[in-house]
Amino acid sequence: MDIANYLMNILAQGSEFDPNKFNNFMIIGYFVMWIIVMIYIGSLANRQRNIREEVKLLRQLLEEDEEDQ
Amino acid sequence: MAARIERANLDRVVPILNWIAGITVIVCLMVIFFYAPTEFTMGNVQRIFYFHVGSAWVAAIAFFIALLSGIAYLRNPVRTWDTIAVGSVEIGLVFTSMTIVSGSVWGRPAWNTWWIWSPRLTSITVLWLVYVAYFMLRGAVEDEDRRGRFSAVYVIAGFVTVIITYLSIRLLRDIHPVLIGESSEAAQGLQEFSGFDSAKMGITLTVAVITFSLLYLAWLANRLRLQRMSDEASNLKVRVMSRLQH
Repeated sequence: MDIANYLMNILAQGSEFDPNKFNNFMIIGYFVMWIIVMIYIGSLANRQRNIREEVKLLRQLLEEDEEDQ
Repeated sequence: MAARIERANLDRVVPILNWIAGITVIVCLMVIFFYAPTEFTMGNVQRIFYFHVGSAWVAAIAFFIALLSGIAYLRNPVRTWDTIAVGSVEIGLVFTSMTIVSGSVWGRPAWNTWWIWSPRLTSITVLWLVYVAYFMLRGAVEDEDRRGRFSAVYVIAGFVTVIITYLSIRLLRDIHPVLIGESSEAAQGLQEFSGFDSAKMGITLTVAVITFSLLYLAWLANRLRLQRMSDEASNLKVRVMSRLQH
């Protein structure tokens, strides 16, 4: 009788709740989101660096030209 | 107003905004992982929800600001409005990509599938493609004035996809839950949680939305500064060319 009750309880309640059951999906989700963020920040930084170098070079050219004159 | 956003002001504001956004992101992550309660059915994976919904909301705000900038550009064709629209669409696309990816990863344990062509997922895919095409349109038009006008009209029309995406789960039967407002019986979201835990989840979600809004502002300021630097480079090129001709 006790065994039957025990089995009925298991069937009624299902398995124990485990909050860490899907942790790997949480890690994958945050990892991929951060990759997207980092790619965008990297692209912004890269574009800024390229234009800064371009501006620096152009200023240098103008200065050299003014010195020659 | 838009024309008065000068490079010197941006140089001062951008680092401050970057720091504020960075600190807020750290605070947001701490709130998500140490303050928000663990959801009963899904466990810890539900913590994706805060970034998923936060990024989706701020993407919609970014596209709305692009729409407003498009209208402002058509009324007064100032370069800054165009730059705000481009920056907003760019950032909106980053947040939409985050929403799609996080939704897919969360969908696997929640729905037992990475992807399903439900109305919400289909409409957000269309939205993403429409805003990607915005950059293709810009790349295809060389004349700056025409590019600005065409882009403004496109970004105004493109906002329809945001409205369709928002309404899709409210008007059509969908596996995706409705978080805010009226919903059909088939689609219920956080309504199953109540009391203190629900309030904690609400606070965490608010923190996430504020964080993404600040991140959007910081990135937009960076994008504006980038445009100013690009303008400066163009002016210098013109000066160098005229010197070479003399």
